[in-house]
Amino acid sequence: MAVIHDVIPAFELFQPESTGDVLTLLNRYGSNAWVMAGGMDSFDWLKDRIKRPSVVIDLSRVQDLRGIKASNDGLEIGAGTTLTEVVRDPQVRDRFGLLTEAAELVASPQIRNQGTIGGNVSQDTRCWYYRAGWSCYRAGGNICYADTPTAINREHAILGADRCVAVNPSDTAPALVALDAQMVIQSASGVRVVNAEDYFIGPSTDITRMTVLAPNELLTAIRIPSTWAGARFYFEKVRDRNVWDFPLLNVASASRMSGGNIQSIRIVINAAAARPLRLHAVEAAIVGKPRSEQTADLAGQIAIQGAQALRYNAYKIPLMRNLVKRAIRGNGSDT
Amino acid sequence: MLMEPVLSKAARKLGIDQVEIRRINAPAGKAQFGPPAGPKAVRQYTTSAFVKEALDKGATLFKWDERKQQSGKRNGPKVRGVGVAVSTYSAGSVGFDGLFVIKPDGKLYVQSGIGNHGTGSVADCHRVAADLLGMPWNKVEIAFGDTSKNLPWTCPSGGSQTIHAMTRAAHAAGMDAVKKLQAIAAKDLGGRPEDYEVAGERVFRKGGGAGMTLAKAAERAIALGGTYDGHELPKDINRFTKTSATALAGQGLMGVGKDNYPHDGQSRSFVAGFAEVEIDVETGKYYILDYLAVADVGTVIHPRNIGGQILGRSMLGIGHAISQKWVYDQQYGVALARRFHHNRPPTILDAPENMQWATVDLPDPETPVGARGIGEPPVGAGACAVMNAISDALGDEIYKRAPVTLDMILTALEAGRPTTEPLTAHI
Repeated sequence: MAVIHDVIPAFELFQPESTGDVLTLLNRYGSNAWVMAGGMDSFDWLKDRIKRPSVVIDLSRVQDLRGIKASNDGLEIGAGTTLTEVVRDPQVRDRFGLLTEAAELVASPQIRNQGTIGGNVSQDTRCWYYRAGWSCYRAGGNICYADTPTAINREHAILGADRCVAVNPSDTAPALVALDAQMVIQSASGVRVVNAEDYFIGPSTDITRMTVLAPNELLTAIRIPSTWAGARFYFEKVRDRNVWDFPLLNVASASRMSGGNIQSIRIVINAAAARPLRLHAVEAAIVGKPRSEQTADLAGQIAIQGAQALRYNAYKIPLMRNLVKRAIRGNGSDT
Repeated sequence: MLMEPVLSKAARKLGIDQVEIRRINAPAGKAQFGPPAGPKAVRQYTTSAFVKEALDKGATLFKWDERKQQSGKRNGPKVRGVGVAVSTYSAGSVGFDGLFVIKPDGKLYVQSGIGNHGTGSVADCHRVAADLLGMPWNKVEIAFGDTSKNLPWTCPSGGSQTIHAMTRAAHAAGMDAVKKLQAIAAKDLGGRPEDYEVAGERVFRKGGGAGMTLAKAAERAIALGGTYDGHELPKDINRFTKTSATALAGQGLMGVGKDNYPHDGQSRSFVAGFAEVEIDVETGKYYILDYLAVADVGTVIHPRNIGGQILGRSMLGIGHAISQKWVYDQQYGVALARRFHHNRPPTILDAPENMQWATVDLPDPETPVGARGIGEPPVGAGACAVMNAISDALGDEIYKRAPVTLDMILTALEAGRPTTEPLTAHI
């Protein structure tokens, strides 16, 4: 399994300047094409020679994928908008501060300057067996190296595993699911709009993909409806280091109160499974209840039902319970 | 990384304060250490040790007694703890050479064979020679960087070696030049060499009177030749130094000499580290609020440079305590942590919010300038003060190995005992 790290294998590079040209190229090359936005995920794969696309489509010159604009009902963020641009945008900050917080906790300032929000939500899992080129289920093989009695799987899944135990590492994805965002997907044959909650998929749906994007499709924009504008938000990311680190778990929630009780709430956990998990059972159980320690306890207990630890990730179960509690309480973190 | 957490655990079992147990066990003076060695099976001993002084200074600066009262107290999900640790490392070798020339332009041209660590020692060691000659620092020119520049035999490039080894060598060369200046003055102005002293860029009769500038003395050295300008060299210097000195002969008054100073014992520097952490028991995540390192490194040559060394190496230790790791698959033996973000060296945001340093600044009696090295000594204190602070806040049943990561803390708090195998490599 020797990997030569010094040279990226040859590929044909396209640098289109419009979304239409990107879609034409995707239609022509299909699964042979690799779509590169900020390059933050792409270069590791290419330099390690694990992924060997024959065609790379560089999106960095496609201006119509960039920018944030107000729409009839909320905001539309171009998929090529950098995370720094998202963080600095006053409309996002004023109305959907949950996304500002989440985006600001991604990686490091340098990576946020280069990485895009479309890339952040569509990035592949960080499973280090898969990333090192082991022929696992997700890579088309027939074993999961991270789920064995000797595996090192501190950062892997406690929920939703199906052969593969990899997790989704995005910080912005759970915030977008909590905000009920919609993903605008284009292909040569048209446009489809998918709820953020349905954009992400687990191994039981397709073990080789993290999202519903087909090889000829492109995520072009993310729409955030005004439904949760100015709501009460909670975001917390737990990571080993205080900058430049993926989440061990993160939690995003949006809620509205009425007469001291929780009127409505959406609560989402990521890095616990291969997709951000919206906690429907928790939401249903606590609507109408006061925002009390008792409600928080109940939420925490329900959240972890069915969670299963691997060899080294048992801590994620109490961590998830406590993060859900904190999201209900609305405190606990000063990070 | 092993002994200091064990010592803290012992202190808790015995009901002794963490600083006090270290004072009781602190090495002092010619302190023995290590197993008996050599044909006579004798133990090694330090040249000097001022660990009690470092602990006392640190406890005062850190307000240890005050902070200790807050340790273990809960504030919502947050709990604080304080920790202290002492570490040591060898701090200097002996027997190298110094070499410089005072030229007729009145400047001191130093040949520095020191490898540039980025710590300032390339230049700092030679302040000793400048001091002995009363030469202002802005009239000192330093040649360094590669062997073609006629450099003397110098210690290996190591942070804990250099300031000790090369201040000794600089002192030897400096004293050689002082003797030559006194001899020239006696020849030209009468009297005995010991009637003259060197200061303020001059050699002059003690108590005032006749004298000459070092620029003039350099001219006289060239005229006199022989040992004065480097045409005759000491027998005991290294061949490497001899070659360099021969190339420089005839340019002025040469200071050249081997470090033959007595050195009874092993030079070791010590650091006492003090840390305060705040741990969130709902996530296991902790922050280092404060860190102080007090170093027993003998005489301080350059305060800012030693401060950088102390804090930089403390961070190396803190990284070992909080996050840094190698990870291998246990079945296949393959490295899984292949990139920096897997290995997790600490970032600037992982550094303590407040970081301070101090020194005891008592000279080591076994070296003429009194300075000992400071490279590795802070590492163990940085690592263990943080680990001991975690135990202080949460008890001894939290971790059995480093780095102490939040998963370890959270799982241990849930289970009431450490759950990670102590001998497992990093995960």
